[in-house]
Amino acid sequence: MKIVLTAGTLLLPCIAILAGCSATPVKPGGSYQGEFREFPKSVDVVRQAAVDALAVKGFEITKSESFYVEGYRPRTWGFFCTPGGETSGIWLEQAGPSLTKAWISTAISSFGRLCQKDWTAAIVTEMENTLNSQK
Amino acid sequence: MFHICYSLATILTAIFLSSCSSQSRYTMLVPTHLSKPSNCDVEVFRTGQPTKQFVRISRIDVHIERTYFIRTNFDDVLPKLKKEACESGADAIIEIQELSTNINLDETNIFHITAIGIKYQQ
Repeated sequence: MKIVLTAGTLLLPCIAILAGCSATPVKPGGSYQGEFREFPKSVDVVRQAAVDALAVKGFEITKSESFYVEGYRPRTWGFFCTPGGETSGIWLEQAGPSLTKAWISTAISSFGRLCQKDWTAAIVTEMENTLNSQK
Repeated sequence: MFHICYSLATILTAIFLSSCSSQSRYTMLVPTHLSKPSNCDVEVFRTGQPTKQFVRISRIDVHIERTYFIRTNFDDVLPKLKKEACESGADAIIEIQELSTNINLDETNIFHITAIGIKYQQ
């Protein structure tokens, strides 16, 4: 009985720590994968679209800076999978008064890798939908 | 035996409680706003728009993810939708867009609502 209790006591914090781990996204370029887009909008408008896109995909906004937005998808537990745990980053650069460059990438954490998803394309689509609807 | 059952029950409860994640937020579309109590009366237009004149004042997002094949529907998110609308100072909610998808062998349901909070013009 003591063994079960000790194992349980040790296991729960380990699961909690692993579930809390998150990876850091890296700006696409070179060997780092991701998406690049140019939007004919100001950086403020594109940043808001980025924040909205992350929210629609279930990300909690963890960083919202002038030229960088980051979000983390909280984990949930299931029978087969523990979805969540991904971190997406969106880097912005003002290329003109109405032109903004955006780089988007998603980092997958080491725990529950098989159940995680690269949300980059979905975020790009959501941003495009939002920004196109503002024409 | 009691201790084993108690430990197992605690672990299972903890896992079941973490089978759902939800987020909600509002973003103002106008520079200033006056919040209302979070349990205020707010009209919900699932289709159509009110006949009175109004101004779009906020964008509202509610997101729920559930595992164990549990599904979410509009009624589940309505309290949160209303709460965010009230806090943004809205009188009513319009342009409600629902998005429901299943992932991970359909075990996980992702349900998202985007809506617009409006304020009636006096």
